[in-house]
Amino acid sequence: MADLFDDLIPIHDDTIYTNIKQDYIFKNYTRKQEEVKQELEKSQDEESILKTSNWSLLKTLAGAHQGWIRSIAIDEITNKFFITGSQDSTIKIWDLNQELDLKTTLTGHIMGIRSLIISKKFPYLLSGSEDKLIKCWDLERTNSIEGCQIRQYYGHLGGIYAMSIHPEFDLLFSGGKDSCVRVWDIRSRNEIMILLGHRNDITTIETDSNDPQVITSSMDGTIRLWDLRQTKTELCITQHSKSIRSMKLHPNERTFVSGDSNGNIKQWILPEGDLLNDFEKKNNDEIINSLAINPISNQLFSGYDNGKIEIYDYITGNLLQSGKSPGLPGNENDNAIYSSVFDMSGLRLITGEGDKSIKIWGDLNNEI
Amino acid sequence: MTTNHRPTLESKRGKRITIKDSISHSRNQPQQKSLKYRNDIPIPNDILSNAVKQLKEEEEEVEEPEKKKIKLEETKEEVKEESECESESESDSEDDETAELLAEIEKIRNEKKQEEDKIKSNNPLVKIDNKQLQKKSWRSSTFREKKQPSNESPKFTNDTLKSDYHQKLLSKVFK
Repeated sequence: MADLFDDLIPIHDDTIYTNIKQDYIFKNYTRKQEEVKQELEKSQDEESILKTSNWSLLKTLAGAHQGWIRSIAIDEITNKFFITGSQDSTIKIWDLNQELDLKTTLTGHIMGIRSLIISKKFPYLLSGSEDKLIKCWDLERTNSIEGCQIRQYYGHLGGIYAMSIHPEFDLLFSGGKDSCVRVWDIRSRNEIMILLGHRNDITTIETDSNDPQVITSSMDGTIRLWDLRQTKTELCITQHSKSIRSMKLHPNERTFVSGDSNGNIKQWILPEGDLLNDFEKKNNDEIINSLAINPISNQLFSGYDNGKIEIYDYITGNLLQSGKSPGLPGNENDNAIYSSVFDMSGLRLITGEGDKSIKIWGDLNNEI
Repeated sequence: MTTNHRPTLESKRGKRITIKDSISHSRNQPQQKSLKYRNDIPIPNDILSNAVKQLKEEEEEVEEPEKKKIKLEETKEEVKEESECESESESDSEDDETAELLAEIEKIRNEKKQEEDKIKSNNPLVKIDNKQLQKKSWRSSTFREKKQPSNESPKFTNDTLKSDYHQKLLSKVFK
């Protein structure tokens, strides 16, 4: 039976790394737990020798915005520009070249921008703001006189903190201060579903094409996996003891990580939502504001509210590097990291901070 | 007499009336009725690997002129050696061949120069302003007295009426 299974699993030659977690799923029926454990330990030893990280600050865009930079999105298709949204209610589009030129500034929101998405299917930018509105911008018309805002999604009762686009259907999920997730039809702007259950602000929404299709984290300290067909909670994870400000779904694996306000990072496996790993932690009571996953080197970045920066190995959960973001003069104590994203080549990390600057980080070990 | 027997008036139905009129909020009006698709979407599996490939290719493109330089030098040396050997040995026909080779080298050199110029003209960082580089001769410069550093501390004020300029003007006009 085991051989049969092995034949059925397609072999991908161009996988980026050996995916232990997928093996964990596939081999779980046939192998004993101990064997899997031994393998994991072995691979850990090998990787700890191979993997080191040496991320350091390459560039600071001082005064990029007039307020905290609460959201960053990178164009995953072309990897040529990124967009930042700030508490000063403007959206700025930056070129991802050496000079980091400012391409345009989009205005229209009247309160801070908390969430940005660049669609992979349409040339649209979606922005969610504390002014309870979601706006859709046409990126191909940013220079036109009449402006590029083409749609508005109206109906939230509180500020919008999180958004996500379904990878297959043209659905937009949004949630925030009013602690419910609203599902919109992108084209017609109709609210087609509402997911109720969270007791506090929704902080992140992740969507996947397989069940469970929606995962949300909230300030009430729970993660909910949703059943979209019945618009009901499939599973409520309550293992975090404090509010969860950030959660991230892995781009290649069926796993996700979540970080809470105690500084705990936990790794979960889908579709069951089982706890897979507790990440190594040294200090208590540090609030995690932002998580980002490097798709190439498979590292996890966590940015803290006090300016601390940490890099973890995603598979083992070992702490590889720890440091602090230098605050700009005049804002020395205001260097909280509010948003972060890796570019698609995995060579650059972009963070948006409380000192109103954008910082670009690079891994000196992997420089080409 | 009560009005109970009368039919219910419109106003009494209150909230349940759906008012039929042409007024609608501006946000309810149709905005953009169709979805536009991106035309730069690659094959989905290759998105990640493409990013790395592209970066590496760009790096190679930058390195290429150097490699060509090395190659050119090598070919030059070879040609020199050959021409020396051949000149020592014999015959005019082989001289023609060396001339052809030299012409080719000249060609490659020209191409290389053009490429370098292209790269330079494309990169705004490499563009050099010639005017800045041209040094003026000391003869063309005029002699001026060195400015004495003023003892007055610079005054900054938000109020234009209190600025030095305005105070001077006032003293000129009204004294």
